[in-house]
Amino acid sequence: MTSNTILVVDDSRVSRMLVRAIIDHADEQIEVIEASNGEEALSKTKETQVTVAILDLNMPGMDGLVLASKLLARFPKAKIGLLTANIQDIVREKAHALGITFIPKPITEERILGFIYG
Amino acid sequence: MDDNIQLEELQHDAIIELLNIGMGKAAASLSLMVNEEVKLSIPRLELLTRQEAANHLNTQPQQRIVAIKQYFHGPFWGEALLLFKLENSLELVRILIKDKLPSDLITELEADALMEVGNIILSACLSSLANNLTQELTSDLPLFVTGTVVEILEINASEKNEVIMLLRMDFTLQIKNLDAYVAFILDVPSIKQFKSSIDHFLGKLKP
Repeated sequence: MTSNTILVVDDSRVSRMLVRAIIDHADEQIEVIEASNGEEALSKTKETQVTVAILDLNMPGMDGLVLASKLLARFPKAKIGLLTANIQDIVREKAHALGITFIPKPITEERILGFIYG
Repeated sequence: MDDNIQLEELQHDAIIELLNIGMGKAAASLSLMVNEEVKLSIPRLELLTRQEAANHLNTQPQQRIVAIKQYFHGPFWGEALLLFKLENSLELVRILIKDKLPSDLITELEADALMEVGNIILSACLSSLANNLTQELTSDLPLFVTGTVVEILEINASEKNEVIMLLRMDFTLQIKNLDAYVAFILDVPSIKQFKSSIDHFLGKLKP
């Protein structure tokens, strides 16, 4: 596993595909791990080192904020973004309090690459 | 009708303005997704029965339409709906994933793509409302539903005369000639709470 491993967690397959397409287009060397919920994300990253994670907020089971705190416990240096259509100030504040980046949906190349490389 | 749910002119104005702002955010999000200008109608707010709401939302009761439905909760609660004609749904998906994802997946991804669009539009509007009212609203996961408007609103015989608040705004992608509309439905206990939130909002505006 390379150090450039990006975890993409979203219950929407279309959203995962859009994010993956943007990442693949920018750098084919980056390994993308997709998961449709928090449990799957934790299970798929047991044996790997995640450097960047892009997480949806509203998903079945644990939400993106809970998942972010679990991932940070496992990968303290990981750069984590909360990618969500829920653009309420309180959600931004919760993301900020966790030390993760708030990325508003809709998904655009500028927003995704700006987060990864910014 | 219960006097406690009647709106004063200022309350009505405030709700329309907040809906305007919310839908402006939603339209900006949609415009970013489709690279096209999104035209918005003037919001409408009505207190009517569920059956009347169904008639307002679609004048052809037997016509099957597509809806993305999201229940929301908080100081007030209700249903948020993005509705459009069945024949428009694949066109919307085509516009959204054009040049981004393989075209042979369009039918397979239809429900997923529309739920994501619905989630982005409805969440943008609800988030704006929550931000302006300085309150928190949480939403369930979006649902993809097709059927007549009565089926989508899940109106049964005992509920059809129940009074609700209907907030509706239409939007159009002019180049693609695609019309859709967003509706929010609140029942009587929720309307009373919503009015309190609006009064609190208006209270902060007073000198």
